[in-house]
Amino acid sequence: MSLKQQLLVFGTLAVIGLEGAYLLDLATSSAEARGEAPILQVQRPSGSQQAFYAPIRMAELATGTATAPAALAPAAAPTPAPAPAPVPAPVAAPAPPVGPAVDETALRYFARQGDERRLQAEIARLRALYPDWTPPDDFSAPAPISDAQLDQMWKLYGDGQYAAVRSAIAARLVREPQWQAPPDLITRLDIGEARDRLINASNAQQWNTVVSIGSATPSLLTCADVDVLWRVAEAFGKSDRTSRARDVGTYILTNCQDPKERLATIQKAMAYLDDAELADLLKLERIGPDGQGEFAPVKNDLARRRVAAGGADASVVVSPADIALVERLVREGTGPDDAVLLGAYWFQHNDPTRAAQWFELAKGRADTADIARGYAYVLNALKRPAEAEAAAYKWRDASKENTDAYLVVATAMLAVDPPVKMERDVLTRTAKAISDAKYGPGAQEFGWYAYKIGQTAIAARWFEMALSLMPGDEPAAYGLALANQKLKDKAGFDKIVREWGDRSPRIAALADPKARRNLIPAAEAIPGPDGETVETSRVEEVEEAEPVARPARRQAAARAAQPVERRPAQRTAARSSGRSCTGEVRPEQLSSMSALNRGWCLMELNRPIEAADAFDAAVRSSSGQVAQDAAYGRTLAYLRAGLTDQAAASAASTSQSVPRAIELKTEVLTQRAIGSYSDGRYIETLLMLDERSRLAPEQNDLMMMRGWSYFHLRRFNDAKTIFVAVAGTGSREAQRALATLAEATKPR
Amino acid sequence: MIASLLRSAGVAALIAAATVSMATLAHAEPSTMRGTVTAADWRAYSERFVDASGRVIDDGNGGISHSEGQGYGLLLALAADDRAGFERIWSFTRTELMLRDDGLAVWSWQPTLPHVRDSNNASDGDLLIAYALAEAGWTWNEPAFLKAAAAIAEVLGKKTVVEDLGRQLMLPGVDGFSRAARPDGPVVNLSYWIFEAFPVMAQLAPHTDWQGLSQSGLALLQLAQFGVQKLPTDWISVKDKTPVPAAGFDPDFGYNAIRIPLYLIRAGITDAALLAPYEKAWLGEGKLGPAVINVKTNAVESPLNEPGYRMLAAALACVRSGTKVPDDLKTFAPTLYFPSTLHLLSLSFLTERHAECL
Repeated sequence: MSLKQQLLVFGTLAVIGLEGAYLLDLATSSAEARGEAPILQVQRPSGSQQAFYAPIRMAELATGTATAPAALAPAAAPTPAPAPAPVPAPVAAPAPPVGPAVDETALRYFARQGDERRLQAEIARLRALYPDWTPPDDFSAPAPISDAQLDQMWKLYGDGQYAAVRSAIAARLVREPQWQAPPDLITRLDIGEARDRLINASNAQQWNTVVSIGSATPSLLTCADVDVLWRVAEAFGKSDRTSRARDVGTYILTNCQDPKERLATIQKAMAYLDDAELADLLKLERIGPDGQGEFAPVKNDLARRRVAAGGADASVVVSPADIALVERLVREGTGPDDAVLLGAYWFQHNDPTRAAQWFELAKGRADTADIARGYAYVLNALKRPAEAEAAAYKWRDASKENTDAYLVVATAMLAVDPPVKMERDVLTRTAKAISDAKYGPGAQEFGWYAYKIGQTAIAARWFEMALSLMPGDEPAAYGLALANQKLKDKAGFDKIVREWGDRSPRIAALADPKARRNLIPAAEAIPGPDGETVETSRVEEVEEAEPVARPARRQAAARAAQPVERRPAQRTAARSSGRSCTGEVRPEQLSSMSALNRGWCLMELNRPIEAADAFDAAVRSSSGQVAQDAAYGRTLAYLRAGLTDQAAASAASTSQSVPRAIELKTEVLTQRAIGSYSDGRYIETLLMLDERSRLAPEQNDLMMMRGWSYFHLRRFNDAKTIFVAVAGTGSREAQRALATLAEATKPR
Repeated sequence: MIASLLRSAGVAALIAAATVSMATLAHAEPSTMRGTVTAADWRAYSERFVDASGRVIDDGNGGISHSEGQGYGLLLALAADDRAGFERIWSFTRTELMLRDDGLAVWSWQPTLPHVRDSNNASDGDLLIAYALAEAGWTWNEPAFLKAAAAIAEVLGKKTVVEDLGRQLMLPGVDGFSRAARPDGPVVNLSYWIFEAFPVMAQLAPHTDWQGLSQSGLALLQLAQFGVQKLPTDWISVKDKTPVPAAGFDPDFGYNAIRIPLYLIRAGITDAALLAPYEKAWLGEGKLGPAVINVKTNAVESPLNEPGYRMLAAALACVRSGTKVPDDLKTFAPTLYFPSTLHLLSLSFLTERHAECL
């Protein structure tokens, strides 16, 4: 039975208050109930079990082929040794009637031992069993010892030596088959062992076992043994039944009186209840005569907890009072932890400037792996990746999280566009860390970095490594194709095109000058395979060179989606700000808002494939406006990447405002028209353009496409009409087209 | 043991089975294991290896305890007809090891806190515990033991017995050995096939194909014959039809696998093809007896000279050739937990089935 099912069986947690004893009456699980009847029918294996071994044919088993029946023949029919004289079986006697007399043996024993906790628990238990019973006035007086062996058993029981009691009972039954162990002793042994087992299971984090024992042994669940109640609550809390855990807490705070235990109940509940459930418990706070609430000592911890929750989840906004309280705790204390809480909170809430102040304060108080990691992320968010790299370096091997942080910020440093000059030792250690960790995104970024500074051969090696680490990574393949092309490594270039051409329009376009011309009219911004960039290792020189590769490499969709005149400005903006979006490189781990921001950032850097991933993460982890924005971004990203089908699917998956919907649909149709045209499917091109023209006016470039489509379909009159219209705007291209048309239609 | 008992009991057993009411707790077959360990031997064993809390101590492994040891302890207490000792060991087993959410025992228990550091199970430990409980339930007429045995058997079957490549396998633990869990998975340990226990499991948990499991175990023993000695390693990859020594473990016929012939003969399986490799490795002129053997280099890694290990060879020689057990092995004196346990299990078996060799 699955954990969930068992917990469901557990049913409701009914709280029954009995006089003196408080029992949580937990329904017996069906696991406990099942098996009783069938078990009694199980018999020791009889003759039919011979089938187990006798007919097994060894050769057949080993080879799977049938052979002569070389059955397992016993060497000789062995003679059983004479069995020892059987021990006389215990005579089945009916259970002794529960007389009106209450068995006070245990009570007297605990009183004699001065075991106040067990004494009170026993009084409570007997009262629950016998409502008319009252504890004797003289129960602490020594009762006459009538049965020394039994007294010894009680002594072992009192010492918690349950195994020894079990053994002693069994030994006595062998000696005295007529003897009956007192049912009370057996019951208490069962409960004692159940308690031990519950605590062991709790220590071993076997929550389902804890819950099962609690349900089967409700007499364990009393204020007299609040530790057991805590453990049951924890087991519920840790096994996705926090409302049940809260119920146990409610039970304790309603019924149990010990002030220390009440406070500890809250402290423990903080580990597994959410804020709302915890608030239910806090409502049960008792106010002392001094006006002080009994939970006052934990109010600092509660504020810390809420700030920490806000630091883990951007959607959790913490009250100014809690922030102020934790700020006060920072001032009053000398440790770094409260400052780290605030730093993490502001980092998560998109205020890295404030976050940096708190992390710097924490760093002044302690130098730890956690602080270094948080500070590095904050610096990275502040677009200070070189400092982030330096902050993360020292502790990079302290934990997996620290290694990840180092790789992320180092990768971000490499991704700064245009590349910044880095000290040789920084570059060396970054390269070593990335290749030691086999970190694909870092390898890819190193590839781009090397490519940008003109170290093309090195770039190719990094892209190769990135691709081997992330075999499906299109940007790495694209980078490798570019590098191979530039290195005139035709075999290497062709291999990438062969493997990726179907999947990546931009890689296919590299190999097809015609397609490139059609698809990428903004070719003036792209360094050709010959490369205007000079092979150089000096970053300063690269600054002078035309920025290469990605920022410039636009496709038709990008061109259509963004008016031409805006592009250079944007590229410049990205460059001048030293923009980098790689603060966190695994979109699935980002909060929806940061994933969305990262998506737009990557779009600005014209890295649409990665942007689409980030937007996709945002779509999946959010709803409402954020999700809508993210879906919009995702569609634009796919469009820019030339992945029209994905773009269309993305556009269809989320409803958008009317203007956006029109914009997206227009772009999809534009791309489809371009795609059809470059494949020579002119009728489809015209269909797409017609549909598009119902949504948006046709600019010159698309009108030219329409004209050439007519031309190829030999609809020369239609073509002429179009070329004339475009030529009327002063287009030299249209004039040349008219000349071509005239040549083609000249009577021969 | 059961199979041999059945063979000797023959038709009488079948008649007895038919006449016993199916609705009551009954001994369709009285166990002849009871009383096969002498009180003196058991006292010597338990004074050395069982503490007052019922913990069976593996003194060869830093004083830890494990589900296997508790299972052996229960079985030997039953064989010694010591109900008091059995209760003591069962109490510890239940309260300290049987903690897992699924009802199986955690495999190990450390003498220092935290006692339980790995919540995985060991399937042979669970199997031994369930088997001993069931036999004790029948022998001492104790329904609570049978109930506990059936609960373990059911989960054990459900969680560790899997069908793979058309054969039934017992995964050594719930976690970490399956096809999905390891590149060379499934990985099995053929000494976890305690053949004498499977017919009992079939009674307790009929939904699992224990018979198929027995057969696949015997078939694998015929296939897993590595090195010049044709011996199985402790840990075996059965990723493909042909088993190979598992990666990440020493390629040894070691402390696990040396139990295999004892388990076979205790279950009444005396087939020459199965036992021949052990006979050849252990018995005859110039043979050292049981040893840890590297099946890749065919080198003896360590000879196993304690009486408990030599007794394994003696028991095999008795079953195969009627050879008398050497005098120095007929008496039991505790050495370390593991060989001492094997010694008593062997003595118990010979007393029950082959008194002529003693």
